[in-house]
Amino acid sequence: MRFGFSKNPGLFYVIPAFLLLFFLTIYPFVYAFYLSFFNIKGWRLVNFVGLQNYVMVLSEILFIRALSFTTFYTFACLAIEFPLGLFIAYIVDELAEKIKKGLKAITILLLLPILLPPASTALIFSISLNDLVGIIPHIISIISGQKGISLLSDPIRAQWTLILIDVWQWTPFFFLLLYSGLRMLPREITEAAIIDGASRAQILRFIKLPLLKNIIAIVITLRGLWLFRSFEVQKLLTGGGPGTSTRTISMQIYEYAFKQGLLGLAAASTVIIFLVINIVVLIYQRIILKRAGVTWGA
Amino acid sequence: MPKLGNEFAVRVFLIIVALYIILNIFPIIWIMILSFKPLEEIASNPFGLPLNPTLFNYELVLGTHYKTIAISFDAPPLIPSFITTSIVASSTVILSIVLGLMAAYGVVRFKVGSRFLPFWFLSLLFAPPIIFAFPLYYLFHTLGLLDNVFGLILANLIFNLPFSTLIFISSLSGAPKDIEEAALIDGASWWTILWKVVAPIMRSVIVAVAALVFIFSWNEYLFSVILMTTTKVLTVALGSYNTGQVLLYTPLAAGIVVSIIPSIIVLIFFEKYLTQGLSFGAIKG
Repeated sequence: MRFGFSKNPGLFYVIPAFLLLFFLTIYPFVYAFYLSFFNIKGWRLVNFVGLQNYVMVLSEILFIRALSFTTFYTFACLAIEFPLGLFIAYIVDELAEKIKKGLKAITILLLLPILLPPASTALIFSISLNDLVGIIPHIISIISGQKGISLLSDPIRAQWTLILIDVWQWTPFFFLLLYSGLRMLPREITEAAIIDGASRAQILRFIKLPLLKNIIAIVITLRGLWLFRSFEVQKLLTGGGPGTSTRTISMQIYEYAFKQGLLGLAAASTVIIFLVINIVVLIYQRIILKRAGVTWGA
Repeated sequence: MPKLGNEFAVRVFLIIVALYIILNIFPIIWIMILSFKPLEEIASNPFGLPLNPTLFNYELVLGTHYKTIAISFDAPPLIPSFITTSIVASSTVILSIVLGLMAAYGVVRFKVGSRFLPFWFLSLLFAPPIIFAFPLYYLFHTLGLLDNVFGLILANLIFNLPFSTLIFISSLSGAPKDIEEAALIDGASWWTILWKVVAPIMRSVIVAVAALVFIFSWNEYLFSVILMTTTKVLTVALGSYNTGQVLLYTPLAAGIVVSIIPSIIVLIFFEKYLTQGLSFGAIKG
């Protein structure tokens, strides 16, 4: 890399984005890193405490609980959304020839939930899950015969309700990416397999899935990292409750910083989460993207 | 494409897709139906179709009946929030496209920062926004950018600028250089080439990114709730409609419908670009 506008005109093009994001992300992060070593009261640095904030965060039950709920939530959502999305993608791909005309309408209807603001999703379900007038408890009571089932008042039920809401909103994302992956596969391969007498299940298991390996790895990592930041639906629908059973890691940092004024703890947890995320991103970039042949023009 | 064995399998598949679609849109449709019911019908007729369909809820949330309503309803009318959100979303789109294209051009054609920039941007795409939110709150407090539309636009760029840049980088590195070289020989400057040659070639990628960035910033919640305390954007303003009072669910439903309409319009008109953009964005970065 060379420096100076005269030597490399490219610098001029990169600098605005670079400066802007430096100012918006690196500077605040370095500042948070600095804060994480201090005892802070009301935005004022009281004294240097070394690693004490880190020790406190990592031994605090609320932080650990938020971290384990977020991890559980992330994996549970992935475990349902991926197979379901793959299943729908497979079916629509099989049907694609038959329903050519309706395909655009079907895609629009399938993708609709992804586009909703998460805040609106939370409010949609806040109405639909209401004990008295919500349609979902109503349907459950018709099916099960039990009346007055409250889905958000019990910790385990609330956690699973949140998982199913995410499944509702984000399975279409898996559908979309896996469906475009399936569409891109060359037809000759599957046609040859049919002639050889392979069943539909065998074709999917031994031919299509291995070819989609890279896309699957990318989609799962992407969604996994985005699930890890979950905030809106939990905040607006359950408020992290009952108790703190559905408090995510983002909500916990929000509580530290904006509700409890524990800025040292907020800073330390920020640094911890930043490191965890970057390790995953590093693995993602070095292994998954490299294997998929993404080179970034470098 | 394997031929389906028989008509029976086709029918089963069609039924599964139809059921899934119904499940997919059912909560949205129910909210839409609710939004056309008069206030009192939420108690007498919560599940059926509206007996006396009305636009009252929309008039209420958009501000017409705001002062006249008898029941306690202190949520703000949504029109100012709608305008604020539109300004934030469209400014974020313009800045992400212009700065993102420039950065991608510099990285791909001049190899500036081509080693560290993609990793940094990728990590910004995945980092939870909360880790920037609280130091940013302090920084914006010092700079007077709290409660400022400009501040929120800047915060939105933390995700959207890396997003647009990375997509532009991968699509630009696959594009042929010969037209650009020809233009250079004809005496055009790099700047002219970027906007007169490269941008038109990348038109469909630009449209896809613009549609996605619009939806991302329209839907944004975390920065909005932290950085905008009095001027509320739509997603945040809507939260104050959720008073927990069942009697106010029909105006809340109308507010929800207002908040999702722009995204639905974008989806219907830009479906092709959106699906391409989403898959391209994910697969290439």
